[in-house]
Parts: sequence; structure tokens; C-alpha cells
Amino acid sequence: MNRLALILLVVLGTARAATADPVIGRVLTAPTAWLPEQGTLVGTAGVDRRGDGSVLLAYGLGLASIEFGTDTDVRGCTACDGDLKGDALWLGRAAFRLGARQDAWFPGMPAVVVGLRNTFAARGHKFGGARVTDAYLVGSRVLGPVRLHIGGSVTDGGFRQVSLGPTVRPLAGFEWTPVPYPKTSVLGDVMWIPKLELDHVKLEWVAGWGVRYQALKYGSIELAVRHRQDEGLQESTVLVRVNGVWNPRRDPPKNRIADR
Amino acid sequence: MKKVCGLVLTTVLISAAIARAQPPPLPGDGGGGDGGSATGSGAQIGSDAATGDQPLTGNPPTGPDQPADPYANQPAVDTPRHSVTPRGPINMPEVLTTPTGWLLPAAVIYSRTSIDTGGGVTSDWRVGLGDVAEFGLATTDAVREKMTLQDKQVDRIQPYVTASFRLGVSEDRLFEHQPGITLGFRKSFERNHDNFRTRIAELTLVASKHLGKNTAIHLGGAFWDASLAGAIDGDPESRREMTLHDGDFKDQIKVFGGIEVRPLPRSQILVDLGWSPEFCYYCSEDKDKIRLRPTLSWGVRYAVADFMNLESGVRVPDIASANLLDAQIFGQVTFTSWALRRAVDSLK
Repeated sequence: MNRLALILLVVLGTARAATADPVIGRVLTAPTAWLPEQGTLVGTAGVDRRGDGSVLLAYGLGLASIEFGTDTDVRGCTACDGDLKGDALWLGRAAFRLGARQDAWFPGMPAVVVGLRNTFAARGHKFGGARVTDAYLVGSRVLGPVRLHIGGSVTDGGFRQVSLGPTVRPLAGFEWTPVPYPKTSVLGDVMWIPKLELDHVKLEWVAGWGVRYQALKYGSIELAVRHRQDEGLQESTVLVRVNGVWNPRRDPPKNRIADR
Repeated sequence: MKKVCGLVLTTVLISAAIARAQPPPLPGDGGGGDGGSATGSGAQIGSDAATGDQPLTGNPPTGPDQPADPYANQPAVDTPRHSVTPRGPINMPEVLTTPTGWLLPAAVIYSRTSIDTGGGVTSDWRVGLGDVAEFGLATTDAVREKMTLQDKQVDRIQPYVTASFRLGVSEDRLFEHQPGITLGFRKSFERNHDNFRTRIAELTLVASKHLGKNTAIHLGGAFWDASLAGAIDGDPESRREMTLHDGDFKDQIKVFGGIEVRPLPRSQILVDLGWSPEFCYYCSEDKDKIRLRPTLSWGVRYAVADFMNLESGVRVPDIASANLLDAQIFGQVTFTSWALRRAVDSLK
């Protein structure tokens, strides 16, 4: 065990970090410790086969980033006996993430982020006053072709006078970019998310896997599958998502045709 | 008669518009005053000797016996109007929610507009007075209300309008290593919400000190008061007023503070701990009807430009209750303007 830990430390210490950290703030569901550069705007929009999805915008503030948008990660069911999958709840989401990049304090240090994500404008559906807050600590590190993300979250959720109470769960994810396919990454992650039921709130795991293709210098597209704890395999969702990165202070991407 | 009056008025107005005060004589050049006693002054005006190769504009050289032409253009005096005043980033009067020991420079206008995920919208406008004081008007969403002690949901009373006045001395002004110190007073206008009338007031003394170029700390104490009036005993027929100072004196005194660290040239990490009043309308005991709750905030200030900052972070209004659902993510933009200072300087 000690030997394994030693090997892991050596690998972490000698792994060459990318010249600049990636900027996408989550794998599929789980957050990463990557922060957008100062002044960089990152946009994400996705839709799944049920018509649910997400639209998120993140802005880099140097040491931190702020995110705004909406998603349907949280679900609720009022008749949970017959319909375990529940209904997607469109919730306004905002997040503040503060952290340090790889190797910022010492060589081999993973990128670290402390984040808090909560809901706003969560009125107007069956779960009046629905609110969900995640506080998390996550570390990310580039290890050759793999980017590993490991952390933990404290999650609370509720509606009306019902609440879950702060609950601790782990989170993890990876991005693997095979050497022969430098524009393609295989993604996988797991995270726990609140599910609102008639008279209580519980946490359910969400596991996802998929592929991200870096089609453009400033844009990528993802195709992925997500499974939830109380859903059978047939209820798993397939989603497609696009990401765009824009930094007005940087030189605009060169004309790719001219590059050739 | 009317025509004559109109003509006179027009003439006076036109003359007034183009009139210029006679410039004062330059010292040592004979001056206009001496010119009157100098010999042959009238002959010099417009003479070849006077003009020669000299430019028609500008003050020709004059000898001791030659009077200066008082109407000649004076050489440009180096008095730039727009660059003499200091400009650029200033020390901010607030960390995130707590005041600092730094005052706005004289005639500098400061504004801050904030929104958060709890639906709060606030605005804060201040102006520096003579480098020793500051006046401001603001709306705050920090004052909260609930019906009973058991309520999990605490609502905010907003907008809650306050006026503030702060005075103090800037850092290193009196002696070396002296922290910036301000004595501030903030008072709300009376707010009537759900038939309950509330008011707050806060007296603060805070010191701020830079530790090196990239770190600063703030430490202060606040003396609070608040009042609540209405049917606070649950009986609509029985209305009464109670205040925070009816209770224990030490419940009114709170310590607050904050820290600023600048790891990157344009970005600062900010953390502060302050206090906010919370009214509980139907709490059974008076000591629970007005309470001060600790508010923890942390975030980042990003200097977009010298006159503009973006701030974002997390605010937990009642950190003592460890209610994660209460946490708010906020974004705010601050602007500072030297325009009034420049206008004032240009009048001098």
C-alpha cells in the first residue's frame, strides 16, 4: 500500500502539466478544478433526448470564476412509486469557484478549486421554493494523456419547509485523450445530486460517460450518456452538448484555412 | 424706445460674451501699471520697431523703459487641467460587506451595484469629502425577517435605504505605519414592512493596514442599535415598540474584520466577517426579536479597468446556523470617478 502511494506521488510529481490548464469547469456532471483564464468567457449548451438540458456561461476572474445559467440536473417526483425517473426541474444556477492552478504553489501540485453552486429563480413548479446548494472541493491533475478529478461535496437541498440537511459525498471524474486522437477525449464521472420527492429530499448518484471532440480551437462538442440511481438502463439519457471559449483580450483564432 | 433698449441690450450681451479680463502684468517686465508712466508708450504700439521680426502673437521683448503690451498673448503657463489630479485605482471603502479604514479621496464618486442569487439587488453611492470624510446613500438587503424562531426560511427586507457618514485619517498620515482609521455612522430610514416598522443604526470604528504591497487587513468594532414596532406580541390590538438597546449592552457590540490578498496584479481575494440585524416578529422572548447574525463573505475583486471592478463571491448571511441553503452567490460592479474632482480642480 505504501509502495503504491509512493509510486502515485512520484507519478504526480513528475507528470508534466499542460502549459495552460483546460478551461471547462466540469466533466459531464462533476466539477473540475479548471478555471477559465482571466477575462475568458466559456459557454455551454446541451440538450438530452427528453428535451432537458442546460445553458451555462462562465467568466474567468483570474483566481476565480463565476457561472450563471440553468440546468435540469435536479429532478423531482410527486408520484415516485410509479414514476421513478421523476420530472426534470429547470433551475436557475449560479456558481462561484475560487482556486489555484496546477503547480501554482509547488511542483506537482494539482489544480484545486473550492466552489459553491446554488439555485435561484426556482419558483413556479410543483416544488415551490426548490433550492439546492453544493459546496465542493476538487483537485484536478494532468497525468500524461489522462486528466483526473477527485473531490468531495457537501450538498443540501429542499423545498418549502422540507430540507435534506448538509450531506457529504465524494465526486470523481476523468478525461482521457488518446495519443493518436489528440482532439478526442473520453469522459467519465460520478456525482451525487438531490432528488426532490413528495415529502423529503434524497441524494441519488449520477454517472456519465461520453466523448468530447475538440472540433475547433475555440469550440468542442460532447456526446454522452448519463445514468441515475433510480432509473433503469432504458431510462438513461443521451445528451449532446457544445462548448465555446472566447477571450476578447487574446488574439482571435487564426483562420484555419489560411493555417493550412 | 423699445428698439433702442433692444439695441443696447444686444450690444451689452455681445460685448459681455467677447469681453476678457485684462491679464495681470508679468513681474519685472515693466507691467501695465508702469506702462502708464513710461514715456512714449503710445508710440510703441503698432510701430515697426515694436514688431520687426517678432511674431504678431506673443509678447515681444521689452526693455526696462518699454512698457509691456497688456493685450499681447501671454506665454502658455504650464497648468494642465486634466492630469494634475491623481487618478487610477483607490483603496476601496468596503471589503465585501464590511467597511474599511480607507476613505474615498476628495470629490471622488464611488458606486456599487450588486445582485445575488437570493434575489437581492442593492446599490451604494458615495462621495469623498476633503480626504477626511465620506458621505453615502445606499440600499441594503442585509436586514432580514422571519415570523417565528423555528422558521427555516428567513426573508430579506428590501430595499432598505441607509445613509452613512464616515470620517477619518488615511494610512501613514499622522505617523509612519499608522493604519487608516475611520469612524462611521450608518442609519436607515424607517421601513414599514408587513405592518412592522423597523430601523437600524450602526456606529463603526475600523482600522486598515497594508502589510506589504499585496496584503491588507481590516479590524473594527461596531455598536449596533435597532428598533421594531408593531403587533409583536401576536395581538393585533396591542402594538408596541422595542429596541436592541433595551437588552444587554454587550449584545450591541460586535467585532468585524476582513483581509485582502492580491496574488495576481489585477485580482484580489477578499474575505470578511460582519454582522446583520435579523427581526423575528412573533418570537416569544424579546431578546430573540432583534438579533445580530454573523455574515461571512468571500470572493474575488477583478480590476477590469482603473475605474471599474468586478466583484463576485459567496455570502452566507447567518454562518452560525450553518445553513448551506442560505448561501448566496453575488456579483457586483463598482465604478470610481474622478470627474467631479477634476471639475473642482479646474475651478481653482
